[in-house]
Amino acid sequence: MIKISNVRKSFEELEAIEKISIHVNKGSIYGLLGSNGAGKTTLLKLLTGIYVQDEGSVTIDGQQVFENASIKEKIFFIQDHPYFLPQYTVKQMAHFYKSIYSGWDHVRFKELAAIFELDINKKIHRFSKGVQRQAAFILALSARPEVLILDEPMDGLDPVMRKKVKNLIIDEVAAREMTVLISSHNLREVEDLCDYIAIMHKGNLIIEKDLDDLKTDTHKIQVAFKGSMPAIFDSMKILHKEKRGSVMICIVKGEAGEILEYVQRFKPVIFDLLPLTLEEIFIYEMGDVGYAVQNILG
Amino acid sequence: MQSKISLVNKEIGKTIARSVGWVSIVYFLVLFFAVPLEIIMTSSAEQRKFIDIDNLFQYHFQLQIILNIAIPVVMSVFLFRFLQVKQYSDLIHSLPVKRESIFHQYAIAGFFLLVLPVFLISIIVLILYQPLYLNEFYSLGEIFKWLGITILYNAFIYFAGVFVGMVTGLSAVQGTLTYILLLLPVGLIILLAFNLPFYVYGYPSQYYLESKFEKFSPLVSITQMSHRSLLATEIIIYLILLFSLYWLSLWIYRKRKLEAVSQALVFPITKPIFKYGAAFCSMLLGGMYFGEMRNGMGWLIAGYVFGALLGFVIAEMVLQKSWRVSIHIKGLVIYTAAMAVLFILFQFDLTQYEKNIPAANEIERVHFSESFYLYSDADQDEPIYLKDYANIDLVRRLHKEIVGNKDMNKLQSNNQNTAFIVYELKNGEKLVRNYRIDKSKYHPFYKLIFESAEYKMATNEIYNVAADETTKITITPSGPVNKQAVITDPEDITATVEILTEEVDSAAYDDSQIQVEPYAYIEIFYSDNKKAYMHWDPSYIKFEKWLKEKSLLDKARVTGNDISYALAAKAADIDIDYARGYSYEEIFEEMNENPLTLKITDKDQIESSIKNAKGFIDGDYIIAFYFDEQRSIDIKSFNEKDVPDFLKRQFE
Repeated sequence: MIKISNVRKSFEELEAIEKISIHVNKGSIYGLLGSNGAGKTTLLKLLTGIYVQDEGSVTIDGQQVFENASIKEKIFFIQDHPYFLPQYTVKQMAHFYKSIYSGWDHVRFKELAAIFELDINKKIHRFSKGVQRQAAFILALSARPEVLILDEPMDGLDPVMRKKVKNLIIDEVAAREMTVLISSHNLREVEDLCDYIAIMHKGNLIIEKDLDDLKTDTHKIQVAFKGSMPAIFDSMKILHKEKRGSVMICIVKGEAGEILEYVQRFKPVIFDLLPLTLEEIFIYEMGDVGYAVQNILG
Repeated sequence: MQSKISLVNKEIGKTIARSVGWVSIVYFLVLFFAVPLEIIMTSSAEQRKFIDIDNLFQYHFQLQIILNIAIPVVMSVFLFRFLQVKQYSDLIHSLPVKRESIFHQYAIAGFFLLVLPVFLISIIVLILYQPLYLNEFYSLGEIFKWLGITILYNAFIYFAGVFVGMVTGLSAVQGTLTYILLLLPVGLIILLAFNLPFYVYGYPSQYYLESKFEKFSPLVSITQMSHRSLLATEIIIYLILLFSLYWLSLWIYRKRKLEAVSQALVFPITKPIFKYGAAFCSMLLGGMYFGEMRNGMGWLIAGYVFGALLGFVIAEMVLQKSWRVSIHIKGLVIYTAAMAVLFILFQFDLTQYEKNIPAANEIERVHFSESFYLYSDADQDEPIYLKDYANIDLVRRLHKEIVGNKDMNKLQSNNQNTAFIVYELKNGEKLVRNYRIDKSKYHPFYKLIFESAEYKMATNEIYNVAADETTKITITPSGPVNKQAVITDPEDITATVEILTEEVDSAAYDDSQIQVEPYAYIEIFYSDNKKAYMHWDPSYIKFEKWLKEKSLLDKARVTGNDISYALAAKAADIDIDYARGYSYEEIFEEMNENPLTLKITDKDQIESSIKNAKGFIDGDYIIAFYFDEQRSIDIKSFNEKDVPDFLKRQFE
């Protein structure tokens, strides 16, 4: 559905994004991770048609996004600091969006406003930051976009509200196959929400993974053998290994049952198959570059 | 899927009205105060007597100008706030609306909100027209003219603001740059006109500055609307520019990169243009200031260097949005090199501007005078022109001589005289030159031209006088005396006119160059209330003799009999404070107290002093005359060479 291929974008002399290609399937929730200045926001703005790429193409359903009103109508973008027309109330803002997005669902809007107990006749800029963000969500979801693009959406929301918002997103995705792109500088914030994770660093994409695959595919094993080490690792996909005394610690890829069965054949003295946290998986997956982006994983 | 957004979206319209509606309201209210309210308040019969108004601009004209200049820019700045605030820009541009559509809606809606108050005011005035008998002041057409001109200026300034808004990413810069853009044509003309004479020898800057250049800026020409209306060509040019600005703005907007919001200039290519443009203009300004001070080449160059640096640094400050800027030395070096090349190019006179002197057979007629103002502010309908081949050739040869002495003339900073030449060619073109020279170096030319019959005919009114139609001649002495010689006898009149004509005929150029105060001012009243006016120069001896014969001399000029005594002193001995200002009484007092002062009471000596004294007190000797009857003082001076012998001897 969303296809970004070989996109490059620079701001005057500064290279913001270098040759990035991303593919997002319909109905998936795609997390874009990276530290500040990694180029996440730039990528999202390219996808929203705010910026235009220097090279490459940004398409949704095979059509260019930039200056394409019929495609942009399917997209709703919430900025990192939600912004509304000056002095507008939630209600006025809703009318504004209603006139612009043909998919606008006013019943849904009233429903959502009621759920969040939002005073729609109050000027938005008088709300606290958290409530403003809620308002942005309500307006966004009422527009019934096919693609929802969220830049750092969890900032400034308390845990209860986060849960509420996440549930709303998941429901919407489940109900009508909405595609969601979320940027974040913190993996934990989005790991329970996303099914794809991509990590950006200094304008490059370092990794793009299906989270379900990742969680079931990557394991940590600790093994020790009597005597010399048999050549068990030759036929396993190893991401990392280190030796502590006679114990060998490895991060391996593969299906848990198969690994278990395979290692057992060599009759180890000690053998544990341990679950890995998502952070650990990413750090091992990324190898050396992993250290540079460690802060976003913790 | 077809977009729901058609050309006009009601909600976008509402947004526009909510953000800039106040501008419209303010405009309406102030304009209402300025025009209809003024009309109503001055409508009583008593007040109407004092109203001198023949168009709508004349009601609170200054206020109208301020509105006309400020409101459109305020409108364009607030209307396009969404371009200059990052989050606002992101919000608007993430919407499924094409930029083209956004632009049309905003720009046109802004325009309507801008002109709506003007329309309403016009309607109000139309309603008041009949009941308040405004037809006594101006016709109905004036209301429509006011409406049209006001809208035209509003629209032009507004769309200039819109255009600048597309180029810049800061609202403050948008406002400032709009005014700079609108003033630029006039500003550049002034700056170039003042600077070119330093490089192009003979460039007549005043001539070009006077030639209605104010039309080139709407901000300047609008200030003339109370007393002139727009020419058709001006209207057409404004309309063309207006539409060009509209489409250019749209074109630029579509190319605008939104990430550059909050930068002073959005398009990288405009930054060097702005930077070097600012350096260039400010360099010319520095050159203009220090060049006009005429302190020599060193100051001029210093002015250029200082001006260019200042402009460069200020431009950098704007671009970097900080006063602590790092200066790119490389850019400055390139700029300096470019200016040096420009300077050298001027030295080659590539267009042959300096050497271009038309051939005598190409010239229809020529104006030659000592100042541009004798050309522009001529008393007659037309300045003095010479058509005689001999004179044309003389002016040409003088011109050639001046150009030949270019280097010498340029070096002398104390050149006091101006030679202003306008050739009107047979092909309809004009060639205008202005030189600062020391005219004593070109004495033969001046003598021949100014003593030529044609020149005298053109410059002396006496030649227009027909003696038989003359009814009266008055001769009023210069000086603090209350007397006048009047000639009414027809025979005397004929004789006087004859003698004066003769005197003018034979007047030598050299005599006209001595700064001696004329003896008297002569007015000749002839035919239907016409009046010829001339000076009685002390060199008109025949005339003096004739007056003496007729016993009119005593009345015709100041004589020794009017003066009881005179005080004379060397200028060096008298302390005159020119800077602070001085009064004749003070000087007289000081001379009186000064022991070196000479008191003259001999009538003959006084008489000879009157003859040679010049009107200014900047000579080597000061002489103060005491007029007995009027109890007043007149102070004059002598140059070393004009001092009467008796005084010279005394002081030696």
